[in-house]
Amino acid sequence: MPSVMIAGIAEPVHGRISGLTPMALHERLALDALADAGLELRDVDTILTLAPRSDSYLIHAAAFAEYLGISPPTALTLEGGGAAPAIMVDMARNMIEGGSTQTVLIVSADMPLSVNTRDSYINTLADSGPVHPDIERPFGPSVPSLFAMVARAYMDRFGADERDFGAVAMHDRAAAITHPNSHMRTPMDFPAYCSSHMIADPLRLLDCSPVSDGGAAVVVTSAERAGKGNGKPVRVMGAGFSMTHLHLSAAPSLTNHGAGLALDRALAFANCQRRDIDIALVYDCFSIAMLINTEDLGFAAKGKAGAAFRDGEFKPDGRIPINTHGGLLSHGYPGRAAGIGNLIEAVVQLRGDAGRRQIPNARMTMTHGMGGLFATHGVLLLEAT
Amino acid sequence: MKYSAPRNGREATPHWKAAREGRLLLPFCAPQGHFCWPPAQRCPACQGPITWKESSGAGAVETFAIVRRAVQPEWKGKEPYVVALIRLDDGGRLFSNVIDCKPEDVRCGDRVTCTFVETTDPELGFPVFRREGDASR
Repeated sequence: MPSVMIAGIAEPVHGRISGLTPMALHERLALDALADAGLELRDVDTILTLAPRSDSYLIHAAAFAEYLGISPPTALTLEGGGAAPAIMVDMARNMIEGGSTQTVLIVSADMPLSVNTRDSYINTLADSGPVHPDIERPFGPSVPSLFAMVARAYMDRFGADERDFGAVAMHDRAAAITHPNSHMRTPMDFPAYCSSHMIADPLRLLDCSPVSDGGAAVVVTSAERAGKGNGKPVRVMGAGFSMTHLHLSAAPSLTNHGAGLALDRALAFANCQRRDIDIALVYDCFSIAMLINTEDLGFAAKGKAGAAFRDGEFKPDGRIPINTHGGLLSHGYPGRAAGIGNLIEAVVQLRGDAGRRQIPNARMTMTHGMGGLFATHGVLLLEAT
Repeated sequence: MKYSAPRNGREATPHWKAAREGRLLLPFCAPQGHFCWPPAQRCPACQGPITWKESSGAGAVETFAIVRRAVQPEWKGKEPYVVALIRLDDGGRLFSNVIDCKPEDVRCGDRVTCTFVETTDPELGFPVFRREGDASR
C-alpha cells in the first residue's frame, strides 16, 4: 500500500486574531500549509473543513472553495467534535490509498473570540454543545458544570483533589510558555491556580480552556507528492475511533471512557505497541479530561494520573511527554477547531522543528481528540520519515 | 421561576406529562428492564419494546456540580445552584437539580426524594430532587 504523508502544516498565533474574517483566516492557513508542502491550490482535489461557529454556511467547505476560486471535485464539511482532526486525516488517508484523490487540504479554524464574543460563544455551547436540549438543558447546566460533574465523580471514586487538577493546569501552562503560538503564556503556580475563581465547583477558571481564535491547516498527500516544500513529511500510520454515548445522561460510566479503546484500535491497525509512542497529545478541554483520558489511554493507572503529573512523569524529560505545546488548556481552544493543535504539535515534533520544546529522537506520536462529554474519541498515529 | 419547557411530542412526553401530575414515570424495556434514557422508540440495549413504570422517586446523588455562572437566560441570577445526576432506588438515573439546599453541603451519596416543578408548557413538568432533611423553601 502506498504511504500517505502529512506534507504541509500551518498554525496561527492563538488568542485574539484581528483584521481577518474567518474565511480569510482559512485562506491564509491553506496557502501557508500548501507553501509548506511545496504544492499549489490547483493541486488540491479534496477540501475537508469543520463548520466554524463564527461563520455558518450550508456547506462550509464549498463556500471556502468558492472563496478560494477553486473547484475541487470533493468539498466536505464534517461534524466530529474534538475527534474531527483524526477523522479528517484518516479519511484523507483512505481516499488517497483508495486512489480517488491525490491531495487533501484540511482546514479547521474558528474565531469564537473576536467574531462572536467569549460570553456569546459560551452561551452557544450550552445551547448547541454537548447538552441534551430536552432532558438536560432546562436544568441550567453550563458546559463546565457537566465536566465538573465528571470531576466530582472522579474525586469521589479516587480521592482526587485540587492538587491533581492544578497539576494538569500547571503542566500545560509550563509547556505553553515555550510555544510562540500559544494563547496563555503567563506563568502559573499552585497559589495562582487556587486563586482562580470557581466556574462550576469543583472546576475553577484555570481548569477550563480559554476561548481562542485559531486553528490550523494540514495538507495530506501521497509519498510521491510529499517533500517538495521546506517541511519534512510525516507518515500517517493509521487511526482508531470509539463512541459510547453523546450526552452525560447516557454515559455508561462517569470515570472510565473510550480513549483507550480508540488507541487500541489505532495500534492494531498500525501494528505497533503503546511502548512505541514517544509523545502523547491528549485532548484536555478541561483538567478533568486530561486526567481521565491520560488514564484511559493507558499512560497512568486509574486514579493515578494527578500524582503522575505532579511527579513530572509527563514533562518533556519524563516517562512519556504529554502535550508539549500546552494542550487546549493553554495552547488554546479555537471553538469548533479545538483539537487540531494536538495534531500540529505532533507533526512539528516529528519533523524536529519544535525548537526549545523538541523531544529528542521523537519517532512516533499519538494524537488524541475527543467529542462531547468523553463521548467520541479519535486517535491518530504519526511517524517521522 | 418556571422551567423552560422541553419539546412536547417527543419520546419523553409521557414522563413530562406525568411530572405535571406529580408522578415520576420512567421508561424501561419490557423484556429486560433496561432503563432507556433519553427515551427512544425501542430499547437501545436490546431493541425490546418500552414500558413506562412509576418510580417512588427516592434515590441518591450520584454526582453533582455547583453552577456559579449560569448561561441560560432563565437561570441567570439564580447562582449558585446544583445540577446533579440522581440514581433512583427502583432503577434509572436522571439529570436534574437538587433544590432547597445549601450547595456547599451537598455530597455524592446524599439521599434525595423527588418533587415536581412546572414548565412554560402547561402540560409538562419536571422532576427535581430535595435532600432528606432539607425543608421546602
